[in-house]
Amino acid sequence: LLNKFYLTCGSLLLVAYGIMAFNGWEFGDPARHVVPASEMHGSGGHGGGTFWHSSGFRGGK
Amino acid sequence: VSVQANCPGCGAAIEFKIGSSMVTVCAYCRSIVARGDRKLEDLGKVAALVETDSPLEVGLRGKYKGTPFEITGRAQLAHSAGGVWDEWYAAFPKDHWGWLAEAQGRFYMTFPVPKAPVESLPAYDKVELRDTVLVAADRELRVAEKGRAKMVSAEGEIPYRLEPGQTFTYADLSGPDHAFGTIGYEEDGPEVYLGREVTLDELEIPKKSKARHDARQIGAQQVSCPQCGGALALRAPDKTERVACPNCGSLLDCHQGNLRFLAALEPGQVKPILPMGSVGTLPEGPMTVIGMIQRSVTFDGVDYHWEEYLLYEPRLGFRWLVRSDNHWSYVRPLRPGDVSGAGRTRLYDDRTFKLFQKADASVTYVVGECYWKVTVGETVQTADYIRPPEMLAREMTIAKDGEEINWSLGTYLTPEAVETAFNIHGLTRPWNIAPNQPYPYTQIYKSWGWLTLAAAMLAILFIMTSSHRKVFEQTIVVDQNATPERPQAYVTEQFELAARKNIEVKVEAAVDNAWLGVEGALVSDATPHRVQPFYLPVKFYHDVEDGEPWSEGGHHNSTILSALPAGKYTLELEIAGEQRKLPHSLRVRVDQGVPRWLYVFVVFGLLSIFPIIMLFYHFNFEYRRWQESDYSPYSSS
Repeated sequence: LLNKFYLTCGSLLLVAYGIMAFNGWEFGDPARHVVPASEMHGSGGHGGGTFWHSSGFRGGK
Repeated sequence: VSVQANCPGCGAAIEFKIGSSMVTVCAYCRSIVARGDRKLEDLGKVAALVETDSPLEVGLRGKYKGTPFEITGRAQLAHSAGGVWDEWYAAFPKDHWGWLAEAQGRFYMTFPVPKAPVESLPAYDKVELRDTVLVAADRELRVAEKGRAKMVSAEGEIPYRLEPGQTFTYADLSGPDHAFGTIGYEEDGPEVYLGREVTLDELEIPKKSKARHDARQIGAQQVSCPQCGGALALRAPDKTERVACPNCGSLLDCHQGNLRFLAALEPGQVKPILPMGSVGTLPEGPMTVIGMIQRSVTFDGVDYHWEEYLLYEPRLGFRWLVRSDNHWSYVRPLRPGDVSGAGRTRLYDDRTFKLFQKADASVTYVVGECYWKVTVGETVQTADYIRPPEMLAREMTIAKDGEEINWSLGTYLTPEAVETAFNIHGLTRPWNIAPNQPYPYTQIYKSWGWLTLAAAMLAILFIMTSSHRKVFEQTIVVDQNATPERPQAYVTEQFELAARKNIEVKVEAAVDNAWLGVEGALVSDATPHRVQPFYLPVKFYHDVEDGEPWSEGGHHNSTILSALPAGKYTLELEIAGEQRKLPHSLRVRVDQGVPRWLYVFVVFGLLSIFPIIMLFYHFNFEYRRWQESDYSPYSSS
């Protein structure tokens, strides 16, 4: 019974790995979002200073 | 060459068909008639033959290694432990004779060795069980049994001068590859007979005779107990030497179905779990329970009992089903010569067994029938060697009238298997670990192997087909005034991303005791715009403190992002850092189809967690098994 349980879990893990590798998925991506064309600034930019306002990093060792 | 004459005892016609035979037994008066140079000699009468249910008979023809033979006679010899065995005499061409012994359903063809090194053979009194004896120039065999046998009956033509009541002193030898030998200690010196164990098929015995033998069915012979008059059944009357009355508990001597009171056992002291006469479907086929012996050993003043159920099937002979601490083992006898090794290991059939326990085991109770003259208190020296699920057991019987060594191989059976075999239920489950109980979860290691192999193949497949490629690379001049409050914004040229390929964004900058941060996003050209943000800080600090240089960080950083839908994308970046410490430029690069070994190792690690836990359990299982042994590999002594 334990072996069947292990085989089932292991097989599911392999299937998950296979799906992930096949689709090029990665863990820990920052959240994606979709921006309507109307909210984009000129020349393809979507807003200077947008990122740094959300990040708290200010460098330092 | 046939010589016809009249029996000197009764006058009936007798015949010497074989020129080299020495005696013949008169079929009418059972006199043994010897032929001399001038006249026949009556050596005396022998008893009627004991029914041994043998597939062989006088007149039967067969072949041994292609050479034809004819069975011309037999002698029946009484073993000191009870029972008789047949010794058939096979006449080969050119006056050669073979000795075909039949015991416990096994057959041994041996031939006299005229040039045996008899000078180097040990005297009977010096022969010890397990000793190695040089019986031919290049042949060594081990002593498996020594004893004395008495001739009780005979028939047909025999190649030596056999006299009624004659006794034989012998040592039986056993060796690898079914080798078998006997040293006969005759008055004029030892004689050596060498050969091997054979099957009826090897002897090319006519199928009709073999089929008749194989078709024998076990049936019960109903007899009355001479002590209490109660009915009792004999299921192997021609083999049984002892039977315990189920009504009064008397232990009875049994000779060819004739019973004689021997000793009183307390009735019902031990109640067999498997009733006498019940039939079970065991690994070698259906077998009938005909007896049970309870044995015990004493360790540190504590008696440990177990039960041995005697099973019988005419074609196979006897087997045992042993129940100890509610663990079960199916036990079959082995040829002593097939077991080799010394010290704490034994080798059988290329399998190594480890010594588990040695003890003196005594019979404490008997139920039903037994094929030797068992007595309560009878003691044998035992040594058990294990290789779960198997156990090699050696039993040495040392008695004044003979010594014998027996090897058997036990195979572990679960209580469920015994229940299925006998169509019963409710057997008590064991609570401890038996010496030969197999660890029940070894299959998990195999499963781990298969899953790991599958994971490795998947990983190789994906990595080989990942088609790692550079998608975009650009050097960007850094604004020296870019700070987190006023970052430098930069939008790259468009580039193509393929579907289902992960994306690596890498930034390289020659920072020196400073940091630089690149926040950005991959933005699709298609509307609505998909935005995949990322952040890549690059920092590198170094100094010398107390004469020791140190450094921290590096000149590049990267992140791997999930695949995006295929299409055109730009990188929108915001670059910031410390004023006046920023590098003049940075390089940004985008790759796709990056091999991900990390995930392979993660999968391997996850697959290994459970087997590693089970490995600890396995170790604990073995440790607890060997706690019951004086020869534990886990013990320091």
